[in-house]
Amino acid sequence: MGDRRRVAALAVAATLALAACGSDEPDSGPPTQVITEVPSDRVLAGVVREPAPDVSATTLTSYTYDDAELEFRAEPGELQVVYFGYTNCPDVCPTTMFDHTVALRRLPDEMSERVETVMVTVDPERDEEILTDYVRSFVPDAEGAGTADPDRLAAAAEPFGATYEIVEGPAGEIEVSHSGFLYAVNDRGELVVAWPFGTPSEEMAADMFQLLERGGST
Amino acid sequence: MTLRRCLAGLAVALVLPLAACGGDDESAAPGVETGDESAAAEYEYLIPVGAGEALDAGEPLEILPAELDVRVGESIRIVNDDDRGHTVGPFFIGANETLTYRFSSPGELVGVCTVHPSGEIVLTVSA
Repeated sequence: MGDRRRVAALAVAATLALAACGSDEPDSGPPTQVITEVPSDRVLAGVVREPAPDVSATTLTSYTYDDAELEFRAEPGELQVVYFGYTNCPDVCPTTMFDHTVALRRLPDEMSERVETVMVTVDPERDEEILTDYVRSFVPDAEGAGTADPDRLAAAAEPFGATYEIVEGPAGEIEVSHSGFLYAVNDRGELVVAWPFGTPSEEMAADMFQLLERGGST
Repeated sequence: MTLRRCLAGLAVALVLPLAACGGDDESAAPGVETGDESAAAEYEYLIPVGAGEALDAGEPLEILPAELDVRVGESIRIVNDDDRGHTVGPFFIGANETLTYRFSSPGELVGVCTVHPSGEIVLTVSA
């Protein structure tokens, strides 16, 4: 087994193992509790890399806004939440996007409006035409992006630490493996926190609340 | 291999307090910041300069254990002083970066580890 195949196998194993972590309950219970404050000494629940990596060097093509260039940088005082995935994903992608929607619902409206959701496809050949509808089935104003240029996609993913691989099986089936993080980017194009698959939505919401509260409005 | 045995063998990899983290921010522009994440972590590791080259050369460098058992609420911090990025299970730590993470949900992760001779790490998070 070559290194790349081995990496892919491990990534799949990681994904499957983490899938056992479970996710948030379906939205069938009482209304989602909105966060009103977080402790001043709270530590972010997601992964923090310091110094915060600059993820803004490479742009991708927006599949939502007439092929405009998507920059990995939030609007002033806001957050951009980025996910690298694909629409045919049977488990991790829809679960992650659902958890993200629940996290957004836990934010006060004036904060959730300051979060831009972006999904980047790692499977552009199949996703370009349908990505916007897919991601907007979770977050109505979300944006889809990607590129058919593998080098450009790799350059965009590298500073995030996002990994992916597409392999065609013996019967022609497409197998995609990818990392399952949601990434939060600030208005300087810096990756400020990353949430692994399975991070509870209340933790992601509290992180966003904390970050947006610190950022303030500009 | 138990965690405690690994940790005992890796005293050199323990990380000093991260007083220097984030100290070179040249901009006072408003923005969304992570704030001070330098509180002590239960599991701290240092990837030293030259670690990647040493592993490439076949040196038996073991910076993190092959198996790491942690509990929800505990934290890990990995300082990468090497001149290349490294992957530790789900985490990517760029060159000269520090990664901090508090485990928030139980589960088991098997993933690539570029700083262990076996090439992989099993990370178990217990409730």
